Amino acid sequence: MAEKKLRVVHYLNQFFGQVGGEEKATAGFVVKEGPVGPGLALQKGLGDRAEIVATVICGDDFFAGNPDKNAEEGLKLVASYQPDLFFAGPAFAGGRYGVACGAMCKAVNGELGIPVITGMYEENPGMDIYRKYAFICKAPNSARGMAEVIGNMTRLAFRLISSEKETRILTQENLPKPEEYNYFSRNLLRNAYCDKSIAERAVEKLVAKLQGKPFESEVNPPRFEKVPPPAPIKDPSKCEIALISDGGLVPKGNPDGLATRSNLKWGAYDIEAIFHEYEVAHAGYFNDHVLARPERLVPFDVMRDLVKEGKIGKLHRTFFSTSGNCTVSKRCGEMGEEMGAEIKKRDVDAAILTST
Amino acid sequence: MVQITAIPNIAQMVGVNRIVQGRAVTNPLGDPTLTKEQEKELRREYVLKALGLLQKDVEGPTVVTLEKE
Amino acid sequence: MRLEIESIDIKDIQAGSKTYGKGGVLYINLKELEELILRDPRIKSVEINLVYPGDKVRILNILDVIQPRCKIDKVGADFPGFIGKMQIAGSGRTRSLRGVAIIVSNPCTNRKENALLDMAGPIAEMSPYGKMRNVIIAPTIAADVKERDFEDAARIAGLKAAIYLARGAEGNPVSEVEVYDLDIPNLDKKSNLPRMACYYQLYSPQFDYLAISDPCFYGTHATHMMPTILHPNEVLDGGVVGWLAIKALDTYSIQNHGVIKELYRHHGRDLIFVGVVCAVANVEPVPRARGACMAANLLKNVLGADGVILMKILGGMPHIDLALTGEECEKVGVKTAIFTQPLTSFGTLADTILFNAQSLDLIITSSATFERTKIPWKPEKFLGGSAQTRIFCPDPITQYAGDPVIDIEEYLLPGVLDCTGSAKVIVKEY
Repeated sequence: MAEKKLRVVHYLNQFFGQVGGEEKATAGFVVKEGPVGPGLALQKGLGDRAEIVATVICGDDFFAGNPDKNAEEGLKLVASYQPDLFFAGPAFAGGRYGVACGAMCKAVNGELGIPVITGMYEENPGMDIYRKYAFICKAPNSARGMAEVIGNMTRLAFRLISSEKETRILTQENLPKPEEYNYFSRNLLRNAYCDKSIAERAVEKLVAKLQGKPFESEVNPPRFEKVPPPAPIKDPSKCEIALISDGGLVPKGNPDGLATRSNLKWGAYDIEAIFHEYEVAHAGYFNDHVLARPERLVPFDVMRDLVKEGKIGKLHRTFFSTSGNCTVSKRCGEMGEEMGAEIKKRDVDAAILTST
Repeated sequence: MVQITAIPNIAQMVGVNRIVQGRAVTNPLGDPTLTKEQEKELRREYVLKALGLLQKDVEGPTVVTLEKE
Repeated sequence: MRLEIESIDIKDIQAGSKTYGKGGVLYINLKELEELILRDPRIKSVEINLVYPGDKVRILNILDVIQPRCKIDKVGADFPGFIGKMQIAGSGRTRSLRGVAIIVSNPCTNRKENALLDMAGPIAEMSPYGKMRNVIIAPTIAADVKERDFEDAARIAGLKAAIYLARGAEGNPVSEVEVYDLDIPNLDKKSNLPRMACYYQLYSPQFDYLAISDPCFYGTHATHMMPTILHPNEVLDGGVVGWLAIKALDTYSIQNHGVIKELYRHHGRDLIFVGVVCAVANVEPVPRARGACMAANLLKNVLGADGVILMKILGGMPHIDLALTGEECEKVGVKTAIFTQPLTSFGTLADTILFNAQSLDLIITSSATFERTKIPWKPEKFLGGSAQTRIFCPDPITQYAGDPVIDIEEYLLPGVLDCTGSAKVIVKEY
């Protein structure tokens, strides 16, 4: 029995979708049957394996006016064709177009779970924002590279729809190598098999370093930005102070489901209640000391005394808790911002963060 | 905000400005080798140190310990 | 110190009425081995099974994997401090069996994070132990024995079995003799070759189960150990064993220590191997700073090293002891290569690093230890546990050993990742 022909939808902007030039950038969604413009080359590349059943077109300015809402609308149009595969652009260096392609890819993959492929120039702002959500092929900054990028996108598509596993990584997921398929890495880290052991690489590179020869580090650490220090508090006896911790102290039963490792959530709990019934959700340190006496992590008893003695104005009623064990640093930054915004909203003057 | 942590190095690296060096990873504001009363006294010292740092002007990541400023 | 490891390749293991070796086969008197293990009053009973590659068996609650070894030219010198009386390991002749491993399981463990091994399917493909013929030892705890004491007894049982099997294999031909000969006090001082050492971080007390340290250094607890110098042979020959739980590390890996063996391979060719400084990670900042200075000093002013490979044990916190030591080394002119273990599967490599001192410019990824992988393979038989044994997941989900798919972190799969540097794994951005 012949393999089922895959259904493809392609997203283009007003120019590549042949609606018009810059003057048509404010035009809304239009759907055309079959391939349009660069879609013809894409269809040729896909051959008999897949058919571009529709092209969804939208003006760059129109989309940029409200990307979230427009991605939703675009998604509805795409979904109505029941595609197995979705392509967008390529957008090359076009910033609005790149963001639109990325947003469309994110929405389509999020809802339909199908492979989503686009192409952008490295400096396209859409690339960094959406690289996690789509396969973004590396494109030059001019549409003169169209044929090559379309070829790249097609090749990647065939790889993604195949049931081929990537046996070179330990998890053996269907994850093509970014270098091999020429796309921007999607902020994933994987253990990959290597022909040299960790020890072999370490000795070889250190010998080179000692010989004054060039060597390549496997990681290049970032330099962090300075954070301007907030002004000091003037008089603690007039201040309300909140307690925060990343040591994983949560109410018994862990109602918010904080993970003991790679945790992405935080919770807000009554500071007094939590000391009656609690547990610890953190597998990065042995919890016995904190379980025996949670004040060793969150100094509730001392804070309460200091309030009684008039040394602190007030202890904020809510305790903010997360579990900071081996987790995604960007998400930690977000959690910090979310907690900070919440704490500021409540007119709290300062916070003490206690960490394991 | 002031952070009390037993790994001040990471806090310094990411740019936290007010840092108090805590006791240990497994008990940042405690010490299981002490009696309950001694431990509470120690905890109070850490919190007072933290409050002191909150009232201080700093220019960048600053670590204070119980032993020295 | 000179150590000769004589390796015998074992092609098959079989139960027999007598323990002996012939024609590459090791016959094992299981009853005799059982009696040997039951001499320890902390053990009530023990189940011993032989497993082979391809068996549809899942081995659960693994606390250690050990290579069968025994001293040939000395008596009472096996695993000194653990079994033999205290003496320095690493000289003379040692017999080693290849193709066989002892796997010790604790079926009544209360630990949440437990290791497992499948003898077929994806895990067997990933782990070298999935391709060996293994002796599974699953003891049960006697009445009134404390859990940690029993774990110790279980591992000692494994070490005893390792010695017993190695002795029993005599009579089989030796396939290879490896010579580890390093006379540190008389190393060639006139050589132009760089002098290289290994900083071996061998323990972190942050995971001390029930707040008790694991005895992994000549039978003693390592938690408060100050940095000290070891001859590399001590590590290869039973002076150091794994933890009482698999954490990307087991005794078998230590017996075949990746970085130490690699430094030996290069010794005299493009470097002079000058020794090992071993240390532990610290939960407290004061001893952490002290340990960093002491280790750098031992490397520079006692071993005279020009370069050091800083190896890491499992965990986030140990990165800091390692980095501080590395910074102190670079400050005194000892050049470094430092290991890092990215702790999450999301982000870039730069996102996951816990140190960024400019002097630490050579960083080696020594695996993403907590990477999760799905294992869609259903076993038919369970050893060291049952189909209802809960399998750990950091997300608050429940999964059991008998489930058709399990979601497990790779540090719990013995032999797949390895803190001694033998794994042919690198962390890549996808």
